[in-house]
Amino acid sequence: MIETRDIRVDYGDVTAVSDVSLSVAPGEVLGLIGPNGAGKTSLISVLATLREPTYGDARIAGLDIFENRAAVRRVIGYMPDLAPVYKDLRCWEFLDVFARAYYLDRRDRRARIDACIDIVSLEGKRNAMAGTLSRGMTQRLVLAKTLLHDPSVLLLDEPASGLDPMARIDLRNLLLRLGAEGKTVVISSHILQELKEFCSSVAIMERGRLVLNGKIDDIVANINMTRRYRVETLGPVDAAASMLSSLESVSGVETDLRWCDFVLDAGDERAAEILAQLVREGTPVKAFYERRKGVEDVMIEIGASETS
Amino acid sequence: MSAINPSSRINPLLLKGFRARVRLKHMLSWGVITVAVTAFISLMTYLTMTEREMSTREDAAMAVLPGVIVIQAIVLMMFGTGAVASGVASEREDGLLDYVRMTPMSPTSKILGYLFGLPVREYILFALTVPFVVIAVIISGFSVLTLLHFYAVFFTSVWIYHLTGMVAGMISQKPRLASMMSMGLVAVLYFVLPNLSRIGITFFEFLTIRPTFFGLLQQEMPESMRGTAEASGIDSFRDVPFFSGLVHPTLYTLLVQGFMLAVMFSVVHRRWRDQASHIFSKVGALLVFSGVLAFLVGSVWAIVVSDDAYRQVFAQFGGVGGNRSPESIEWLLFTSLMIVGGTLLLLMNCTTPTRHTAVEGWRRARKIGRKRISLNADGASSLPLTLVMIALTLGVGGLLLWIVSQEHQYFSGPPSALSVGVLGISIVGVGLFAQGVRERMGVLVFGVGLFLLWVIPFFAMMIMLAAFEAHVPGAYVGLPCPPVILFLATGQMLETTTPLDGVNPSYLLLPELAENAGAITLTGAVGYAVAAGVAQAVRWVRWRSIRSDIEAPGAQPLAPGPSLD
Repeated sequence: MIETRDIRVDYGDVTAVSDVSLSVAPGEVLGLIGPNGAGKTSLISVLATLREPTYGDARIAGLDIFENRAAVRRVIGYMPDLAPVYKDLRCWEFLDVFARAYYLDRRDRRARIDACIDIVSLEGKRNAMAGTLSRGMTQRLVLAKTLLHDPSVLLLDEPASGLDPMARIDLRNLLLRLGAEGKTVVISSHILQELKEFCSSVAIMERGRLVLNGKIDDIVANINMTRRYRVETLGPVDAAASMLSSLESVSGVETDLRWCDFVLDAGDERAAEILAQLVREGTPVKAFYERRKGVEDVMIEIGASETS
Repeated sequence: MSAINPSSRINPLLLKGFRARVRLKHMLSWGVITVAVTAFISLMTYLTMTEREMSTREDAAMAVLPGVIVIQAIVLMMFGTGAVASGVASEREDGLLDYVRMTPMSPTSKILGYLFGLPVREYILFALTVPFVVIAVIISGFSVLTLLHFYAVFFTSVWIYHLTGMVAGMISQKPRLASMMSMGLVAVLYFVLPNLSRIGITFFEFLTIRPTFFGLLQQEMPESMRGTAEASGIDSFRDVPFFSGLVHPTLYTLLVQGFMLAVMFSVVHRRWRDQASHIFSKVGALLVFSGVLAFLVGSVWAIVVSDDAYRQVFAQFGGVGGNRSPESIEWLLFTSLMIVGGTLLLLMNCTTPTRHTAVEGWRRARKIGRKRISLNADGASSLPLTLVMIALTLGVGGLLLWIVSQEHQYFSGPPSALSVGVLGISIVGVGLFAQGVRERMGVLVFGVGLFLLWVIPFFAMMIMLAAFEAHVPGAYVGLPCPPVILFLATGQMLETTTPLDGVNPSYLLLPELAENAGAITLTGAVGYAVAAGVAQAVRWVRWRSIRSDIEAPGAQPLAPGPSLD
């Protein structure tokens, strides 16, 4: 549904997005994750046809987004970061303006506005002035506007920012529902926790580059190709560390005051044997477990490399 | 207001403006103020004149009209323009403009929606003042046809200013700045540019309602009430000398304002289609330049070749001289050259690509299977356009010069080839230098560079002239400033012919300057020719480096996919 190749976005001498190629299948919910300044917003604004990249190409629904802007805009719904609203309009008036601008049929317009207000749970604020809404409510109103013309592709830039926990749960449920309806969603955030529950795939960006991209399960399996274990002890770990270092199929031993990590190139039975050997040799083992990396760990590593 | 439920055919942006800006609480306060002020002006004028028996009821009612029209002009032209400019700029700053941009509305619908939606409150305030006009017309018996004629011009002016506001809003970074820019432009249009009519360049005057207001409306009024008309210096709403004929003022107004409306509309239309696009395409810029040249030459031609036209223009617009003289013609040519040069630089600046735009344009050309970028594309160099504009300037300048030299009452013969050559080289040199610097260095360096290179030497020259009367050294110091070269070159070129009086060696220049003008201008022309060569060489080197960017990875487009249609 969405395909980009070698997208690069320059702002003068600053490269915000560098050679990003990704593919999003119909019905996929892609989480675009990265620290602030990673290039997420720039990439989404390119996909939203609002900014032409310095290089590269992008297609949505098979259409080149810069040669067929008008057609592409009909199939996408875009919600920007810090979503603005017409503050001096009531909520229903705001939606009505855009329902008309998208040429919704007169008879369907009211029903569609009601449906979108219902989807984002803003029934109680229908007649409120948009300028009086809280941040979270404003986000919901803009999300309703984004859904008005029933787009098949949704581009949501940090939609969860400013939402309270309940609103986040509502947003999660809504996105799960939209995904189930077959809509393709690209949603950005710098907080992985916000996305991992409903994204079927993630693309992690750092300094404008795409560092990781794929199904969440595949990524987790990929980064856990090597099995990493940790032994926590009640006393010093030096003896345990030297014992581990001498064992076959063990490598990469790292220690701290009360724990020792190692990489095991063998199965569960060998791990059980190592634990037994540690206990036999008098190591006061408090815990022994496999450390499986998650996408969060990758994010943390990216954060570390950004600040280092 | 929330009960409004119009049909879907209503422009959504107009409806938005109506809902947002015409709520009862706003209208009550603004409406009361407008009606109160209009009523005060009307009653004050009418009652004072009638109760103190200064005039008849009819004349007093007629005297109400100018006051109400001024209020209407302030409301629609100043406040309305500000509302459009700040409205567009703030929506752009907030990101709301992106929402609208992404809707399937056509650019024209969007423009019309904002054009009438953002100043909708001002239109309603205007409507509140209309009853005062109607009452005044009924009592005074003032010609309704004349009034409608006036309002036709009034509203075309309003739309020009509102479109100008929209352009300012789409270009400037801050809403307040956009509002100030557009209102400032209206002020310049009314109080600065009309002064050019006094030396014969009339078309700026017709961008305003001044000729119609002073010339048409006030001339219908009793003689005792023409004070402002007299003060404006505008005699009457007469046919305007244009080329070798006379054009009806209404037609001329429509021509000038229609041209301006078309220019503004095309700018806004382009920006709606693509917010990153240049405000003019290369072809569009050439058309604008040609239009300005046509209006300029039409004005100048008429008064150069005809004593009657000259006298009429000066009578009509309150010019400073009653008879044509070589000096006035020199000033006219110099001012025309400055206007053409300024327009050329402005259009060149607006159509010169940044490195980003150039790369983008070239990549797109490759993507659609072209070997070269279209000359009209935003990413294409502005050099060809600049060359064409320079050629047009030289052609038109040569034509005007030929006309002047044919009119033997100014000069005894054609100017020398050397002096004409110096002026030509100066124009080409300055144009190519500026284009090279702009394209190589970008708009910021271009702007700052212009100030440092052009304005500061001019200031230094003025100090030397005023304080030390060092005319020749001062002129050399001021040479980097192109207007100085053009001023000296124009004066020197015309004065290479034998003066008619046979005594005065100079009409425009002081004798000391006139004697040295040849050497000074030749120095300036050669200097700019060399500078232009360097600037163009550097620009060319830059284009070669851009080509390496163009060949960077990602040049191959994705395979075409199925169409949604």
